[in-house]
Amino acid sequence: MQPILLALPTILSTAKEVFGVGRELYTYVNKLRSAAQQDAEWTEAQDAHWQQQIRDAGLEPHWQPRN
Amino acid sequence: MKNLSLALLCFPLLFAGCFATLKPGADAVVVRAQQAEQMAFATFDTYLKMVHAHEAKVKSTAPAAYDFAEWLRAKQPDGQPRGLAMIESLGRVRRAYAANRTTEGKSSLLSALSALQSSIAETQKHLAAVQPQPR
Repeated sequence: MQPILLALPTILSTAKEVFGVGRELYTYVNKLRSAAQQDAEWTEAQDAHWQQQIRDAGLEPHWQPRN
Repeated sequence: MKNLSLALLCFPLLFAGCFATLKPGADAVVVRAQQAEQMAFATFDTYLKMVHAHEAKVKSTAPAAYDFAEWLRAKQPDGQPRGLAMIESLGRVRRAYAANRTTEGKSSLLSALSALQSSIAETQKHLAAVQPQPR
């Protein structure tokens, strides 16, 4: 019992990390599926919205270069 | 775990052409370009989020993956990160072709599409490398 209790923080930390990655991958696969289901050319409004989304993403922390 | 994850990541792309039945009047190449732009954004964004979340570990255990993330994030002359600039570039070519549908325009669009799809594949390869491994 005691070894399990001692290992618990590591187990929980790993589980949290794997769960976090799993959630990101699940979201990613859903985005790919949604993209693949497009069946029409975008309207001007849809295209403008998409362009703004791309521009806004460039401001996110994970898109900033480190060097 | 890594091979399974890579297979899961590629699964939707393998069936991308099968999912959509185009609406009448829709140009298949234009729609494919739109799909590629969205897939590229999802792929690059997910990859950079993962690297960002585990920065120190990725830098030490997967330096090639970290360098690739820096390559995607590198600022271009227009101020945008390279990954987003590539998506915007395909978007410009797509809009130019949609406005004036010539054979040359279609050829340019297919070339730009192919280039972006290569970057998507490269990113997915690195995405598999940055996932947590069993200890």
